Amino acid sequence: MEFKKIINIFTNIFKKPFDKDNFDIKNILCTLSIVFSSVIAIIGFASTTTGFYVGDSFVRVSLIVLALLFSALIYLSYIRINKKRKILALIIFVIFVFLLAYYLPLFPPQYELRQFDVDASILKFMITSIVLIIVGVTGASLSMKPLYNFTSKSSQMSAYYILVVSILLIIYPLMLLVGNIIANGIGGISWEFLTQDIMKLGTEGGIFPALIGTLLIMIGTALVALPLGIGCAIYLQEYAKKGLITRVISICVDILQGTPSIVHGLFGLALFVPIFGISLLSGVLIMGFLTLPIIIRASEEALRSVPQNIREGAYAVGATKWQTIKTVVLPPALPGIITGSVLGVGRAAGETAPIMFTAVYFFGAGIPQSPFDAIHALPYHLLELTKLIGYKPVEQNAWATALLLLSIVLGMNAIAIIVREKFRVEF
Amino acid sequence: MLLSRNIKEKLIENFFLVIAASSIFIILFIFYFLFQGALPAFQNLGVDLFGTEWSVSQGKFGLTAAIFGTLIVTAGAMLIAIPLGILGAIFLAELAPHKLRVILKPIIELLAGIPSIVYGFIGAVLLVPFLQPSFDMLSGYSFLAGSMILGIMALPIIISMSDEAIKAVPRNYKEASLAVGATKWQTIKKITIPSAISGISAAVVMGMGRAIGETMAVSLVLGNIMKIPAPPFDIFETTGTTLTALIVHDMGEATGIQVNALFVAAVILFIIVAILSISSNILRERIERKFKGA
Amino acid sequence: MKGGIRKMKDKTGKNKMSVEKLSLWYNKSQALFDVSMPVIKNKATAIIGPSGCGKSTLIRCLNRMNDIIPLCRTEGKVFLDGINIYEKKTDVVEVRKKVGMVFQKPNPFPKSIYENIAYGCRIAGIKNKKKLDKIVESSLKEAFLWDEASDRLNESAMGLSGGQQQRLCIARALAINPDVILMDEPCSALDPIATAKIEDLIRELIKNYTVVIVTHNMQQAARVSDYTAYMYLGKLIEFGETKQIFESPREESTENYITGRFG
Repeated sequence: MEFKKIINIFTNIFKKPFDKDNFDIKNILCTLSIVFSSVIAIIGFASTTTGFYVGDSFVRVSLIVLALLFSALIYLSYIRINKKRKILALIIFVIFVFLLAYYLPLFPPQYELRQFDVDASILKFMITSIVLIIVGVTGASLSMKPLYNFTSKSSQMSAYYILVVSILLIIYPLMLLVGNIIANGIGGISWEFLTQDIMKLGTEGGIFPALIGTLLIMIGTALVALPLGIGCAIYLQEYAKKGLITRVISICVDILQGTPSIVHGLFGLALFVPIFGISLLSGVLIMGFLTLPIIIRASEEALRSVPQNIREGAYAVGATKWQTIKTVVLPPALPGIITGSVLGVGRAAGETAPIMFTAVYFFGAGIPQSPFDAIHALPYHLLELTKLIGYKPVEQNAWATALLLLSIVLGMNAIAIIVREKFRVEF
Repeated sequence: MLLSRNIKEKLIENFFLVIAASSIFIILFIFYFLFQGALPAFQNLGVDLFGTEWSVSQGKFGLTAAIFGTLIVTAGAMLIAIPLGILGAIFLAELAPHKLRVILKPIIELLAGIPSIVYGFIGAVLLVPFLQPSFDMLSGYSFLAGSMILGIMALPIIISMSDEAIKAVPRNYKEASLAVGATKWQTIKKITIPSAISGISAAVVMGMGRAIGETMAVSLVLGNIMKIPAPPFDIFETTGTTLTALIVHDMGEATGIQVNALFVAAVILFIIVAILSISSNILRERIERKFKGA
Repeated sequence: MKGGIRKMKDKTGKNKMSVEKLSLWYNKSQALFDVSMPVIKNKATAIIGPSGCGKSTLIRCLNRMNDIIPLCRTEGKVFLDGINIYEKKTDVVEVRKKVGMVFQKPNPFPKSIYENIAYGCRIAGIKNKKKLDKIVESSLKEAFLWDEASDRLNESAMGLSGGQQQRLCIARALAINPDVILMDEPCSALDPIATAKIEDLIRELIKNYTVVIVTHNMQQAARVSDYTAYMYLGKLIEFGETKQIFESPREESTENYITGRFG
């Protein structure tokens, strides 16, 4: 679907009423109600986030106006279309809105839930906001029906409206999250912050040891997971015959992929800590296992994308299997493999639970001198700071740490995506 | 020379076989050590492990409250993530013009990449203080907060996997539908989605797995008190914990049989997620068979 | 063979290769039934027949390319210069160096034009740059591609047109100096002009090589080949000189196919 097409569709909605030969009061009313409903929804949404109550009279008036608009639409549609049953949804909606207009402002400022033994109450503004959002979106979506004369096209436009709303709902929390972190964290990032030692439980000073620790974990994870992962993928994709072994390995990889990070942490605690103690080595090994399935799946994909055709071309000039893999299959698969590896290592940078019991100490661990020393790490540091919020003035540092961690992880993801797009080999 | 070349090739093949088999060994190790850690608890506490009280001082380690907590928080998360996720995937796969898709898909992948500790941090610092006045709760730490955060975390998985599943529906199915005069939306509703349902189910199962196994984010926004919640209104309560939050919370200072009980919690998590992963795998195989065989 | 690649002497006279009672099964279903036919040296042999008759399967047996397909089983013999290539002790890699193949869909490696052609030589151990340069040039000339490609040897092969890519694949096959060149419907993905170029190329190639070509285009077979084999449902129905097959076929099935009554 072209961008132009979508813009066309939406401008058509607005052009329709003014179409000279189609000058139709029904279309004007429809467009009006779509706009009005959308505005109601937006106001409701803004109200949830700001905690601002729009006022009883506003609620009453806007709902009544909406209901009247719809009533007019119902009347016009009734006299024009044959299948009267299709208007049923609109009629129900109008009745519902009229009822809401009456009852909603009657809602007490706080509806106590304490009668149910719950220490909370639902506030009026919350209820009203949510109801306004629902009414607005439903109204806009229903208004599409008369606009397109109740054909199947109208159902399509209703559905499209809902789809666009849902995408906006999805992007909203992301923008909120990232925006907040950047806005609040940027003030704390400075050269001193990055290079100084952790002081006074993190309320002062920098995060240098944690930064080093995270970088070491990333490198170590790559060293462990890449050879194992790529090798496994090569076997599964190039050598293995479809049989029991491949099925079992594939299931094991899936289970490994789904295993919660805390379970990995406990596993590390049970297996590696007794041997290596709480150390960089233990952490890296566990993190490697955690990252393994990501690399295996990505490498498998990459190898699979090389067409069988190419391999046969190499066999036909007398190459052996390994020669073919090494010189003809791996090179074009490399961007995909690198993408997966970068994504995996980026994930390793952000994980807390696996290293919590196996590699980090909050107190005392500095820059490790050997793989058997304990380390600091950014995610764990952030965890500890979060626990201190409210007790100690760590907010600024916490936001800054979050920003730094987010930048590293998202930076790796961005690199992976760029590598994938730029170096992709088209067959 | 033929012999030496053959030997070399065989060696290389076996080398890769050993590497591939290592993944089996890792899983076996995880099983072994988890069960080894959990065994003492089974032996000493037996059925009491599923009792309703958790009190370290009294030596009672009933996990039921935590299990309930996990279920409730996951259910809430899925309530948010499934509709939004599937709708979002439909938009991305069918509706979005190419230029928009090229922008949105990386954004969704970015969402998936945000570390869970960052979600936990934001949850503790933004969401919890927001909920408290909004619902006039005693404290914002609640299952409501947990479900909201987990819902957002499970969303990108469901969206990207469902998007792939929808995109994988062969073009000729859609073209056949359009050719008999169906609108695009009718095609999506009646042809594309039913064909992609295995992949979408696999996506939902994976999303559920993520929600169940999530640790850091959830532990920072829950009240971490072991009490069995009584839905539906307890979502506003400060009581509550999940299996994952329990482990994270207690493991630091736990000793003796408590450690083993926490291992039991880990075993439960591992088994649940293993079952979910295998189901997802089976569902995805079903898609392959459906489209290859056709 | 280490080091140089040299032409094998023809030990058994005119038949460069011969197929003897070859049967093949894909898992449980049989695809070739007791096929026997000669491949005459320095001539072009066409294999024709309707879809699914086993022509591609047969030609892929000639360089044991079917080995890669899982659950594929063969019985019978295929002789190359008097030696059965299906014998256990035969080195399949050496067989493929003497019997080259060009595929239906051009499959150049995602490398430069130069590297595509040099690939087979490098695999065989030739590292000398001067030698490789010479081989690349002569192969491209033999494949009628030198004029178009000589100034962009280092550019990616994926940038060539379909017909050029196919000629590149032919050059790649020629670079290792095979005795036989197998072509599995080489023109079916190409436009008529590119097809014509390749047909001319085939007539040139048989001066130095032996060619076997599978084609679903009867007119092409008539234009290009000296001998023709007609297959139907996995059996070799008739084999003979092209002129004879097309002008006076012996079998009724052959005649029906040639005259277009089916297929």
